[in-house]
Order: sequence, then structure tokens, then C-alpha cells
Amino acid sequence: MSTQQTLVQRYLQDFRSYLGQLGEQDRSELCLEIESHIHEALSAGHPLADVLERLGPAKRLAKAYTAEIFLDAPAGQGPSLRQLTRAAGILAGTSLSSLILVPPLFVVGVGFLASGILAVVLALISFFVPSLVTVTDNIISKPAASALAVVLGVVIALVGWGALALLRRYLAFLTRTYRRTFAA
Amino acid sequence: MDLTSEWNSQLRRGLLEFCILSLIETSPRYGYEIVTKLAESPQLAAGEGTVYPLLRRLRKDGWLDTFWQESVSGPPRQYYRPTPLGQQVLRAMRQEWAQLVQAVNQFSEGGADPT
Repeated sequence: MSTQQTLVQRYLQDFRSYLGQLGEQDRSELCLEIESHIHEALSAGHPLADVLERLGPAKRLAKAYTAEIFLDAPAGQGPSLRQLTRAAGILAGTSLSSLILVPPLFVVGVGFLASGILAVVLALISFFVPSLVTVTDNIISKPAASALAVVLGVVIALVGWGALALLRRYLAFLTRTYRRTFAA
Repeated sequence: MDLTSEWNSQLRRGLLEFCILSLIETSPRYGYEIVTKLAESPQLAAGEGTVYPLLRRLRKDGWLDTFWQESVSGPPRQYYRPTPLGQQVLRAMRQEWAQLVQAVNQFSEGGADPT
């Protein structure tokens, strides 16, 4: 009995080690299911050697699982080199584009939006409380300066908002691409 | 290599999905039960190494879901049952299969001329 248990444990260990690509929870679940299968078959009176032979080598069983889980390829075929290369390419390409796009879009988005709003608020304050404002030379009247600040503030805020909208779209695109590439 | 082996394995695979859904339609079953039932029909050539991974795939596709239940002795059993989507798929398959069999029979039975 104890040699039998050792054999079962070894089979399950092998099986688990070949499921390396899967998450911890998946691996535990699959091992438990196979363990349960072996137990049921032994309880039904089948000799262990037969049970293990019907399951096939641990490596092949694990490969059949990963093939079914990762790709829609028929069982027994692992991911092809082309598919792996493609996944690696997408990962590398999007990492670079993220590095280039995300920080500037974020900084411009938040900075411009905040500055724009601040400019509009200050312009409105200066319009209603002109005594707060000092105009150094008289090229432009105080109300005109306020109006100009409102217009500029709105433009700047719109640029910031646009940058944030772009960032959002880029992140959504990234999520979709990753989900499609690494669907599990 | 057998001339029809690729065609045969594709065909069996599709039918296996149909058989599994039918098996668990009315009451949930655990893996060993499903494997044993399918093994009663050697024509399906559905060994453990095919059926268990396929069950996992069908779960991933949202046709089945699973729950664990303690067994009297030994490790807990994972039960499978069809999701509403799986039931819908099964109904569609059943209809398709009946029509397919009818169409094929029409040609294969003694080359009968329908006119």
C-alpha cells in the first residue's frame, strides 16, 4: 500500500511540475481532480498500474491540459513557436509604446487640466474683484485680460482633457490586446 | 498514418463534447463517472487523457461549471453541470445532429434515389 501511495504521489508531483505555465490555483485543482480519479479507480478495484497507464505519462496529460486551456489547438499539441514569438513580440512592442506614451500623456493630461481650470478660476476672481489684479502696463484693460485668461484656461484644460482621453483609449486598447493574446 | 485519422479525431472530438453535455444534462456528475460512462463506448475512443482536459476546456468556454463535494473516502470530487449556455448549446447540437444523421442516412442507405 505504501509503495502504491508513493507511486501515486510521484505521478502527481510530476504532473504538477509539468503544469508550470498555469496559475497556482489551476494546478492545485487539476492535481486534486487527477488524485480523485486515481482514488475512485482504485476503489473500483482497478490495479494501479492500469489506472496510471490509462491516464498516460504525466507529461503528456499535463501537455494536453495546457493545450486545451491556452489555445484552441487540438489536444497533444503545445503552443507553436510562431504563437509564442507573436506573444513575445506584442509584449515587447507594447512595453516600448507604453514607456513612450503613458508618462507624457499622464503629465500633460493632469498638468494642463489643472492649470486650465486654475486659470479660469483666477480669471473669474480677477474679473469680479479687479482690485486684486495689478496690470503693469496698459496694453490691455483689466476686463479684457480676465476674458483672455478664461479663453486660454479653457483651451489649456481642453488639451489636458484630450490627453487624458487618449491615455484612457490607449489603456483600453492595451487591455484588449493582452486579453486576446494571453487568454486563459 | 491512417488516411482518415485526422478527420476521425476531429469528428470524435466534436461528438465527445455533445456526449459529455448530454451525460450531465439532468444530473451533475464527477470526472471519474463521466470517464467511465464514456469508456463504455469504445467507438468514442475517449480516454482519460482526452476527457479531463476537454472538460476543463468546456468549463473555460462557459458551457459547464463545476463544484467540489466531499466524498465519503478519499479526496473531494469535482462535479460538472451544464451552464445555461451549455444547455442552449446542447439543444442546438441535438437538433443539428438529428438533421445530419437524417441527411447522411438518405445517401448511405443503399444509394437510394430520393426522386
